[in-house]
Amino acid sequence: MPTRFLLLFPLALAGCGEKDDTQAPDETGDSDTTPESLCPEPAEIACEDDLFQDMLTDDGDVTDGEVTTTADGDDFLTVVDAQAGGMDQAARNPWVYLRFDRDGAHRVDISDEASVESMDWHMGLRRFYVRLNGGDAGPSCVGVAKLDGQDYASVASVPEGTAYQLEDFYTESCELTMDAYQMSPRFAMYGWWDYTSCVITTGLPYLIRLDTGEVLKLRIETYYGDGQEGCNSSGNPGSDSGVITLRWRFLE
Amino acid sequence: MFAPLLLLLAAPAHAIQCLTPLLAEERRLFGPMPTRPTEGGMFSFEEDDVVEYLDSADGAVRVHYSVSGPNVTILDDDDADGLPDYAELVAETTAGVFDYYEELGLRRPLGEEAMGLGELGGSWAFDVYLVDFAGQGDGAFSADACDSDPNVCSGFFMIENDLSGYGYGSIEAGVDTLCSHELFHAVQAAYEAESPIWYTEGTAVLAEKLWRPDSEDFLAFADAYLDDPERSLDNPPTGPVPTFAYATCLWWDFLTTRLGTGAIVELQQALEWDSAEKDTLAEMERVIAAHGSDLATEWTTFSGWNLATKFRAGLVESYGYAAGIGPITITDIGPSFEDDKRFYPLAASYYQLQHPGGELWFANDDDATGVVFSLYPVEDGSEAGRVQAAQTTWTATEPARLLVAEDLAAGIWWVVGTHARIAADSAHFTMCLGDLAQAEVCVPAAGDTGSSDDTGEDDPGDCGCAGRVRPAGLAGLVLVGLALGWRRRAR
Repeated sequence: MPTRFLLLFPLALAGCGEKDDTQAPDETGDSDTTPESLCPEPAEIACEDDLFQDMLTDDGDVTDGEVTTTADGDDFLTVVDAQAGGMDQAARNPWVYLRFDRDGAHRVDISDEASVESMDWHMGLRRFYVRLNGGDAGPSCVGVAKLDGQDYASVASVPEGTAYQLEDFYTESCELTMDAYQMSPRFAMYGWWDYTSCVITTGLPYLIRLDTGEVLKLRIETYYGDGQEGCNSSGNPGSDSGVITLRWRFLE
Repeated sequence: MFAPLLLLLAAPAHAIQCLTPLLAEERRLFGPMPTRPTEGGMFSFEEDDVVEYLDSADGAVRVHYSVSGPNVTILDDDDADGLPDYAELVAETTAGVFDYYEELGLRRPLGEEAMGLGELGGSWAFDVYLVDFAGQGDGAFSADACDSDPNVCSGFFMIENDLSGYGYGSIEAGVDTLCSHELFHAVQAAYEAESPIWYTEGTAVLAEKLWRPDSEDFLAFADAYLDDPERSLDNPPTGPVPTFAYATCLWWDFLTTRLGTGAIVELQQALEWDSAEKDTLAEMERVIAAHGSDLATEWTTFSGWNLATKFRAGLVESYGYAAGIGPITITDIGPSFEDDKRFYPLAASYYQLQHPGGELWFANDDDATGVVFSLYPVEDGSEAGRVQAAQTTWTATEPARLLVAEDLAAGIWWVVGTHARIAADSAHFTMCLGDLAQAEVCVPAAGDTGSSDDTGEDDPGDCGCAGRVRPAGLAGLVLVGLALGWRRRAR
């Protein structure tokens, strides 16, 4: 008989850390040599009204969640404070919006309300929600391909024939499609975390195709600002949940 | 391997942690599984448990409990009858609730015989199990079997074996809460097994109050509703056990207060499976109409009652417990407002206006059909003052400016906006409130359109020239709808 689990976690995905405001957020970066866009005009979001009630704020607030990017060999490491005020307050706080540029990832200082009209951002993060700007989530055409069974380090180029998925978490009648945990909309980047007694990062690598047609490889390394390794190896929850580390680089 | 289900209980402190929706989702995802605690279900007795049972005096309820082992119940036996008092309390409470619901006009839960099953739990009685939830919940109704036509289920419920570590004020309060709540789910399953969670949980919490009028659990959830009034009644946040779904109990209590307890019984009966999918909101609207009212009136009144809570209670009609819940979450505070706003159906937004005195203007830059605004005075015009009855109510459709009041006293006022109808989408427009200049931000004066995208090439229907504001329930205020040029808000 298959094993079933009921996983109950008062601390699961819950945040308890203070935001670190010791560093000024990065400025929004615009590349000097922006390639031609695959989708120059913003697309209409079919279920925009539902999107707001289901996961966006509409009060014009802009996050102050810090975003820092450092180089790590040929990779970038981008740390995003996506705590959004902790688990209980997350629904009332705006997302952190990121843009991937050649000199690193930068925070795009826009409200959730503006995000549905903006082509400037590529990825939005709030707690364990990660959404891309396209399809049901935004007006652009950022898509993703999961590299199941592959290791991030071994991905050196874009496999021929790679198909990219846009966000598609609403049905035609705008019913929200949830993940198997019933905890999150089924975002296109579904699969980067798992849960036993804490939020395990799976290390699943992704190819993300930007609106420019540029492709980067990316994996989400940590969900906890501290203690991810202990969670992944021993099931001990880390601290500062929602402080997410992305490892990524452009593929040529 | 099946994917695990996660539960995140964010319920108010000391509130019921009902796992019924989770078990229903398990059943939906994985199909029927052994769920009885004696069969290795999700919450189950263990080999070391010595399981016994007792029956209620009327024989309608059988309670299964452990007298030794990991799930041991409270073994106190003050009446020295050889049976644990706690298990006896559960049995007699459940039997009492059975009868009470029947007196209300509700159907009794389906027994296993109705599903063609043999005796479960050793008898035909309704079974209740006392198991250790280990803080991960404290009660759940679970189905033994379901039929598809009609879409109904029979089952049993489980509650905590000893309530140790839970926040109920007393054992009696905990048992009343859990038995009335979980048994109501069993009743619901006898009508329609797949009603939406905002209805099933909200009405189950109401049932707690019907059984135990001083239910603290009900108050905790009623209070939680006031934290999130801008959310549509029928759209809880994502997750298997969203607090908001339980918190809709406030609306159901409002309805039963206004229309009588029979209204909720009539709604449950209206939702009975009859080979067609029932729209819970539409049935609710029909029940309200059958009582001589309408949804817009009731929802607008509900929104007003919710304002008059906590320290704002006392001057206007509201809940008997109004001072014990709230205050309402405020949308915005200021002397004037310009708010690009989505007014979701069956939700409400609360603006605290710090009026400097004089004229009060309102304007909407886009279609506002269905949204009702109400202006509430406050005792002494002070921030902590009690709310008084609505002074005026108005609606807006096409873009227009509206003089709400010619000479409004300086001080605190409340403006409540509510999309008081069933609708698929929000009413999305920019609302301006304040002096004339503020209103002109939303709807410029004629000849002052000044917008770069106001090319004159708009569809004639967009110009708003024939706009008329239809005020409702005026009370001596001058409302002037102005037909003005306007520009469509860029989306």
